[in-house]
Amino acid sequence: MLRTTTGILAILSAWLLLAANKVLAEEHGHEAAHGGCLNELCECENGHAEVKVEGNLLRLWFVGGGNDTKKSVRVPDKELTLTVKGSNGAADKQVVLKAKPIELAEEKVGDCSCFEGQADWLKDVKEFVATGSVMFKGKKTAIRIEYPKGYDPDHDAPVKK
Amino acid sequence: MRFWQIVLRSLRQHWLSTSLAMFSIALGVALLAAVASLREQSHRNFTEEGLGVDAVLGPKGSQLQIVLNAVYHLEEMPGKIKWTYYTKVLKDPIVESGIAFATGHSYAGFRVNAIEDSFFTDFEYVAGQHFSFRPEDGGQGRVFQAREEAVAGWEAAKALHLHLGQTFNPVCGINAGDPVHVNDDIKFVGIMAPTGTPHDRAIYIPLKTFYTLQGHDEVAKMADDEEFREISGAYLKIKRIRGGAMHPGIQELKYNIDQSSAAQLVIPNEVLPRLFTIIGWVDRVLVVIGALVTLLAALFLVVALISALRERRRDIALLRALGAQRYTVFGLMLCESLAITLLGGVLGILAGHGLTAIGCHFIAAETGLRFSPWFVSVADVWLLPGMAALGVLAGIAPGIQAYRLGVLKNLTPIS
Repeated sequence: MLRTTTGILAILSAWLLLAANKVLAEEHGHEAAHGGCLNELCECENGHAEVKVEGNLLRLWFVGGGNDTKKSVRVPDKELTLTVKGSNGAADKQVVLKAKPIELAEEKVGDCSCFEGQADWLKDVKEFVATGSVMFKGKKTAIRIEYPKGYDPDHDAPVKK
Repeated sequence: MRFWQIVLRSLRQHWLSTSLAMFSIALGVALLAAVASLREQSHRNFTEEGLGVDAVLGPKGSQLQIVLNAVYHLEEMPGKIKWTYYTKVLKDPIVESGIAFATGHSYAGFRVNAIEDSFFTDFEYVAGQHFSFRPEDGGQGRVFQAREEAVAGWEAAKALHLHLGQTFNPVCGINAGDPVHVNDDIKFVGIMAPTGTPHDRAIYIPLKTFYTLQGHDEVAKMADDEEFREISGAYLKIKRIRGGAMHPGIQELKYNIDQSSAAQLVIPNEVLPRLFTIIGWVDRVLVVIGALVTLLAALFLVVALISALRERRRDIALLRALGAQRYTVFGLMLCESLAITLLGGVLGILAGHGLTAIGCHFIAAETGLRFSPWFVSVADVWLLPGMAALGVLAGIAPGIQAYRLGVLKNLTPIS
């Protein structure tokens, strides 16, 4: 009897754990509007920088926080400079992104959510970490891009022991 | 006497309980078959066919409302969009063409939509199919060419007994009591051939007529001044890539338009499945009701067979005494049960198609969509084997009782 009860409880617990895990995964499963990678700006609820690399072109969209990743957030910057960390002791590289207003969204330079920059070395790069800053929602905010997996400190942080 | 003759005679002997059990099973099966057929046909009509609209450029508001208004001629548009914005969207490299329209008028319960005349030449209500006015297709007349001309969809023309040359005065609104444009006599010059789509249920007038109807004082300026002009929305045709698939850039176009303050891009094939998620519980409830009715009918069948067995104890004992094996009498009960559920299943499927035919009539009247009562759904395929399994299950308990029946004890006359 005791063994049966323990067995049933164990199965129920495993099922609950699986369900909870699925719910958490779904809750944080933000969708990138352009199929790029989402990088948190300070924290998830604040906003995201969606990044997509197409050949030698790097495209970046500032979008909302939480589940608002399909809503653009306009910033006053006319250009952004991203510093890409060199791997294996190589020197850092920079890429300058210019504001690329979305005409159909009635954006203009200085009030724009989309930026683009070109660099030949982007063609060969498979992954990179880039940093920079932007005036986001009225505050100077650090940008950290981890391409292609995205920057998500809330969920990437190692478990404290 | 052969085995099946015994089964049939027994069923006939207890015709009342047999027919009641069969009727209850047929009722449940009919409900299941009708729900499955209507659900599958709705899914196909609303999601797969898309009714020729890749995307609708519409005002801000409910996406579902926009699709229902633009594609199904139901509901109302939540607002208007600027003509200048529409022309800007047309310049996007992935947009092949657009057809602007203005909704909000009606006549005798049918929507009167003002639309660009390219609707009749470029719009494909099903891939490769354009509207026709040819008599051999069931149409009449031609496309409108002048301000005071209109074209009627096939269903609208049939319901209102319209004929070419007849005039009408559009109602400024879609509700009872809305003002009528009494001084605007618009003449029907064409009746579109049937398409089996909601477009059959609308009346079309030229887009510019909308702005110049009497009483549209402020709006009249929109006919000539493009900066001032507004429309309810526009059907957009998106360029195709290899294999005929829609250009993947549509998602970026949607994102870009959705960020604007006044417009949004609605993709019907994305919105309508969400509608089914919302209303999906209705057909789930109906399926559960159908399943419960069938289950109760099966329980009733068990009870009926057991009580019939009590009356036939002597007959069964006689059969056994004449040399019938235990498994033969077990088989008799099983086959009786099987016959009832299978006959009930067949009747239920036929009745289900009858129910679907009634549903089709109302759906066509309300939405213009044509459903077929003869559509073969998944339920049609699975219900009969399901009923056979249910029949076997329901026959087990009475079968065991017959199997265990004592011969000597039950040979004694009952009265």
